[in-house]
Parts: sequence; structure tokens; C-alpha cells
Amino acid sequence: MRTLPTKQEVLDVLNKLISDELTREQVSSWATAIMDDDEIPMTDGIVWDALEKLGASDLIATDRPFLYEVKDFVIWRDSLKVQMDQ
Amino acid sequence: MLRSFGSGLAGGAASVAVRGGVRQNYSAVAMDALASTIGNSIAESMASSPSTLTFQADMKARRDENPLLDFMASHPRQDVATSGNEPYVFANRYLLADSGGSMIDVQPSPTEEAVAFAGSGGRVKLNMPNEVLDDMADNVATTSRIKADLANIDAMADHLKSKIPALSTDQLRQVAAESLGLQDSLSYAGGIAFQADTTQRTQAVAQWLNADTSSTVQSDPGLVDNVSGIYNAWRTDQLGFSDAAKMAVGQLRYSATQAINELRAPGPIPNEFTSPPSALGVQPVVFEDLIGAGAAKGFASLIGLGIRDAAKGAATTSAEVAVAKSAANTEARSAAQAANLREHYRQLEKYGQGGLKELESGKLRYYGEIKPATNPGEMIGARRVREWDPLTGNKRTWYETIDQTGTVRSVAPKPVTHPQNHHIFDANGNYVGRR
Repeated sequence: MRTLPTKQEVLDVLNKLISDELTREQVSSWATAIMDDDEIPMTDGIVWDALEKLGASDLIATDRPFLYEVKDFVIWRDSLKVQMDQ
Repeated sequence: MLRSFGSGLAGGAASVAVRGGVRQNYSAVAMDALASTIGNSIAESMASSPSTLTFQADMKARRDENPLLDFMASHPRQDVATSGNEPYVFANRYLLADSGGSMIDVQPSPTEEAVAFAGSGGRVKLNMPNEVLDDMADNVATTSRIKADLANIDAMADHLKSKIPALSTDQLRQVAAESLGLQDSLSYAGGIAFQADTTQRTQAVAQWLNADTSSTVQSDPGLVDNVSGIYNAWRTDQLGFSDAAKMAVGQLRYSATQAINELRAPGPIPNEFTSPPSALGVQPVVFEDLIGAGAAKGFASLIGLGIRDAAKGAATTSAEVAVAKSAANTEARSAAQAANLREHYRQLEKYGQGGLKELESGKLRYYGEIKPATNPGEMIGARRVREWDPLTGNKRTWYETIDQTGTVRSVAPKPVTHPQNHHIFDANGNYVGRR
């Protein structure tokens, strides 16, 4: 049975996104494929929230290149870390 | 035990007003939590109580989940709203509960109901004694998910305190709740059995309002119930007033009992379309006791509680005959409906944290929460949308980018379908082209 990634796996992806090891498009594609998989239950709200954010990482904006900037990714990462530490 | 659930909610109303419409509300449990962090005096000052606390329930109906509504939609005199979800007013009545909060009783007042049926707005108003509210609040407070969410919010707020010292603890808790995607948790904490996620799964719909100002303390939790169908049956002479009123009361009691039961046993909730009555924690006899045998026959058929044997007895009115026939005709469709309903709830829980919209075509759209962007530009953020067509089973997903006015300015299908994958719209909603 397929499952959601762990928080650590999501954190790793976020770190690679911030460090440019993964492109926005790669990260978005990864996240949306997981979320669209009907066989994967939504068992972790924190992971799910992070995936929803990552799925949006390649969105453009009308007044700037991307809707979410690297500082958003950093905030997402820090938020996830906080939740992992609890 | 909380001393005054009502005063806590009033505090919530005040705090909402101050914050200019911030979505979550601080109710009793949240107020207690606040008291521990910002001091009792502030918490108490926020909790100035109204003279009367009114419990307001929205009763709505969905055709695809309501055999009667479906029947009404095909009736020559039907005036059922075809848009799917419509609120209606039913009655003023009292909800009473025993000390455990597991048994809600309803005392209908025919006079009040008559007024309410003829009134405007589409609301049910119920007055609850404080001891009931206290008990419910205690139940909510023991719900593990809520406790966990609140713990996350508080921990995040503490973390943020060093980074944003200018904000109060109260404000930081809000920031934390939004940042953690737990916007509703503060409402859950005092939002009784009938809020948001709980509401969606139990189909008990309600919200609190401040009777002094008649303003709602909570955002409309929306969703589904069977009462609109009953209401329309009365409006179109399919049911007499007395039976319709009794059936509405029965539905109200049923929904409320479901919601209370969920609080006592958090977890996946069976629903009346897919589970036997025993699994729901509500026995059919409840309806017999409450609304009388005649109405119970129709009502039991309506909501598919597995007590259709009751409908085999002699119907006492022509309306009941019509309802019983309707139920029989729809029974063959019930398996498919039940499957669709299960799929709907699955998707609602997984994809619908931000809301649900039913299109005229019958397609359903499940919205994720808007993820705010830190750059304060023209766009405030984006949300994920999944659309499902129950007729074909087709599903598709996209992200919507939202501007400061709430207008969708960009739609990006997922997975990516085109090198220029963003469909851009101007501020007036006109399609501009791809980017």
C-alpha cells in the first residue's frame, strides 16, 4: 500500500528546493503526483499541508516571476521543522 | 468545567470584530488557553457576555444525497433549488441534553415552528442551557485532535514570539494557526460538535451567534442535511405541516446526536447512507419516539436508516404514500449513491479542507486552504482544487492563484499539460491567455 512520504522526506525535498538541487517543476510534479494518488490516504495533515505548498512551488504570479519565493520555502521548511520537533 | 460557554463565545465575537473579520473565533476552550497565556483579566474582558446565547443551525440539502429532494426535483410543482445547497428556516425549539451530552432532546413548539416556517432567512434557532454547553465544551476539550492542534498552535506561537516580538500572544496564536494550516482549530476548540470538519462528516450543521447583535460568531460551516427536502415537501403539499415539522425536528435531533457521538469517539464516522443505525449510535426508535409512527415511516425511508419495514405499514396520509413510493423508487439507486457518497466523503476529507462547491452540472470541487505568499504583491496566494464528476468518475486538479480581491487570476492544471501551463485572467476575471 502506498503511503504519504514522511516529514523527513518532505523536509529533504524542501532543502533541495532551497539549495537548487531540485527545480520548482520537479518538486511540484513530485508533490502533486502523491496528492493525486487516490490510493494514498491522507494520514498526516502536516505532511499534506507541506505537499500542497510544494505542489504550488512552480506557480507564476502576474507581477513577479513566481508566486512563492525562496523565502517562502525557508518559512515552510522552518515551520515543518518546528512541527517535527514537537 | 467551564463556567460560561456563552460568555466565551461572546468573547470570540468581540475578538473577531476587532480583527476585522479574522476567520477563527476564540470560544470557551480557546479562551481558557488564552487565559493561561495572556492573563485572566484580558481573557475575561474579552468575554463580555450577551444576554442571550442563541444556537443557530443551518439546515441544507443536497439532491444527490436526499431521495425526497430528488423526488421533489422531478415533481411538477417542485420548487427545489437546483443549485444543490440551499439553507432554509425551520423552527425555534429547545435542545436539551443529559449530563453526558450524548442524548439530545428536542421540544418543538408548533406556534414557533409555524412562525419559523413562514419566516425568512432559512435558519433554525435553538436556545441551549449553559450546562449543556459546558458539557459539550468539555467533550470538545478532550478531543485528541483538537488538543494536538492547539498544542501545535501554542508551540508555534512561542517559537514566533522571539522573532516577532511586536505581536501579542493572541496575535501570534493566530499567525501560528494560519501558518500551520490549523485555522479552524481555535474554532474547533469551542466550536462545539457542529464545526467544520466535524460538521462535514456528520452532516450536522450549525453555528453560534450573538443574540444581542444577531451577528454570527462563526463562519457558516455549511453542508448538508435532509431538512430542506422536508421543508420543500411541505411547501409543495407533499407533506402536511404537522408531519413536516415533526420530521424536521427528528432530523435535527438525529444530526445533533451524531455530532455529539463523534465528539465522544473521534475517528471515521459512518453515515446514514452507508451504515446500519446501530453503527451510528442512534437507534431508529428515537424517531418513533420523537415524531410519532406516521411521520417516522416517511422519515425512516427518507434517510435510508435501514428501517424501511416501518414504511411497509399503512401510511396515514397521501403525502406519506408519496414519500414511501419515492423511497422505493430510489432504493435501486441507493447502492450507487452510497458508493458515490463514500467517495465524496473521502475526497472531502482529503482535498476539501478549504471548502466545497457543487456546480450546476453536478460536479464537485474540493478546495484546499489558500497558502499565503510572503511577498505582499498583487497575488496573495494559491490553493489546490480537485474537481470530481460523480457521473463519469473523472477527476482533475489545478492550482488557482488568488489576488487581493479574491479573484482567481491564474489557473495551472496539475500535472502540467502545456509548456505555458498557466491560464491567466485579468482583475475582472476575463481570460487573457497562457503564460
